[in-house]
Amino acid sequence: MTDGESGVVASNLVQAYSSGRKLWGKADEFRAVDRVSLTIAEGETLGIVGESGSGKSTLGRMIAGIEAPTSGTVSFWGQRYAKVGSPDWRRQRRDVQVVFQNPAAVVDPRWTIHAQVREALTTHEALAASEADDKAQAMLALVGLGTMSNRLPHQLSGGQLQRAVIARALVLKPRLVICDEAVSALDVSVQAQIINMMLELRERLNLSLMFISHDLSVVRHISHRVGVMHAGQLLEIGDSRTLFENPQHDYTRRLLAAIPADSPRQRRERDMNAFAALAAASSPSPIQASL
Amino acid sequence: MSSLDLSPVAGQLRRHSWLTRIWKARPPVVIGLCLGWLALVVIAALFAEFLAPFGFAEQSLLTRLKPPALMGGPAQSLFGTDDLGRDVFSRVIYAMRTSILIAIMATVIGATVGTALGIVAAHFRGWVDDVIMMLVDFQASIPFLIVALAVLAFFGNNFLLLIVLIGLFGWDGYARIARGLVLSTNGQGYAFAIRTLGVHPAKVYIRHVLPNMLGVIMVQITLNFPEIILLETSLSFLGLGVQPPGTSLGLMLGEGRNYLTTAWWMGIPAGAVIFLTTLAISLVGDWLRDMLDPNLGNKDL
Repeated sequence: MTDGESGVVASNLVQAYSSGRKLWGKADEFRAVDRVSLTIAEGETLGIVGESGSGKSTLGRMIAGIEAPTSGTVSFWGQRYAKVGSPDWRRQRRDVQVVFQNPAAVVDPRWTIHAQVREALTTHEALAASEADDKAQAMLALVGLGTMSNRLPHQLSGGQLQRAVIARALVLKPRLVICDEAVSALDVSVQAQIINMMLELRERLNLSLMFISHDLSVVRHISHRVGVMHAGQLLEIGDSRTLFENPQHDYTRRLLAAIPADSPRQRRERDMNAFAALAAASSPSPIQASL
Repeated sequence: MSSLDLSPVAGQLRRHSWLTRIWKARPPVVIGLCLGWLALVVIAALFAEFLAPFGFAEQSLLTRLKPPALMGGPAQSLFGTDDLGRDVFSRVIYAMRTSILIAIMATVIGATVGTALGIVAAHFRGWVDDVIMMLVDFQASIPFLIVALAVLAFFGNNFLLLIVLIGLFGWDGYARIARGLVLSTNGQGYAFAIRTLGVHPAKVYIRHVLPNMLGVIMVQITLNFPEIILLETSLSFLGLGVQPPGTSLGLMLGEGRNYLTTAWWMGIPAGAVIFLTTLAISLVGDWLRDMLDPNLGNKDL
């Protein structure tokens, strides 16, 4: 599979949805993602931040190959994604996995978490039953659920279930994992557990990560590089520290100003600045921006 | 590894099979009675030859229209006799066999066809979805009894045709339910997520979607089953269902109607069986649904 070229190269990705059809003339087009180019190197973590509706999830789905772009290309370790749903596409799934926001919605409520991890494994590898059992069990132990592998999803907490979902995603040792708001629904202490776990697994498995979140502090903590999305466009992308300490774009500055501060006085000052900035240029709706 | 051991060690939970779960749940008294009644109905249907004291067509014109045994009638006829001197008790037992057989086969046909079409519609979307949903609307908007009467009158009455026809009653309900469930799990739910693991869609449907739909389909069956019994009853009552000398609950009700004021025992037993059976199925279905739902089955936690 390695064609010399490692990592992901996305160029000029566009995802356009038509909103309503007129009797005469062309349908209105809404560009959820508008000409976005980026790269993710092997072992690198790219954070994507942006407000709701900025197109960051759609971008993630295109990079993962579960949604075909309207135009533009994704090169995944030198390969293009096959047509969604085709046998080739199904084979490619073992190299790229997505972890979604709500773990309870993405697992079968009737299967034990062990069975679900095992299913991911046996879909791509012909293994003896006992070997598959052991591998799935080992993966669950790796995410700290070794003693709970026979539980059903509803018998786990949200954080535990998200770890099970991560185990299911990682059991095939994918090259790229896309975390789409993967910790946003969890409380802060559980978020920290999961993020520390991801950091450790990232080193261990040499994972490339795309970490999509509206939570700037989480993204800053985990990412090597960070991109800022707004109204379907990638406004700014750069080294994590540089971007957070010296944002180039006005929108990025306003976004950073919205991070909660450490002390009330600090917060008051920031709030004043942030509100002034927001009032000066209230952010345009994505639909208006595209028309 | 050490830093990853985040959770407190919990003992392995024993998982019960759904059968054990149902057993442990200790069904309430009403459900027990319903299950008992349904068991009786099934036994009566299976062993009609051994249970019925007389044949269902055995006539005795000398003992016509005799009241039930406890109300002054002959001792051998528990529910009395009808206008041809046939034993009502024996006929009810045979009628149960016919009606239950038709209802079960028709329900299987309806549930299978409907669920399959619903899944197909939701999987392919586009024009396939449009056509199937159009058929569903069509089915829902035609007066089914009239069409059934027309078909039976036109093609003549035969048992197989009757079963297929009754089976097609209610498939639209299953199709709608299956389509809705598949759409929601395909959109953002587990079916979508499991497909992004690379699992073949057919496997996703068989392993995950269908077993998860079973609870809802089961409830739909328990709603549909009494309706099917009533439909068969209505058709037989109108003379286009089961034909004499055969017997079914509806036919008995129809024959008993003429004698309702003078010999009420001809129709009432069949009516009571219909009433009790449909009620019992509805109650048991509701209870089963709760038992089969893994999110409600927290008795084993």
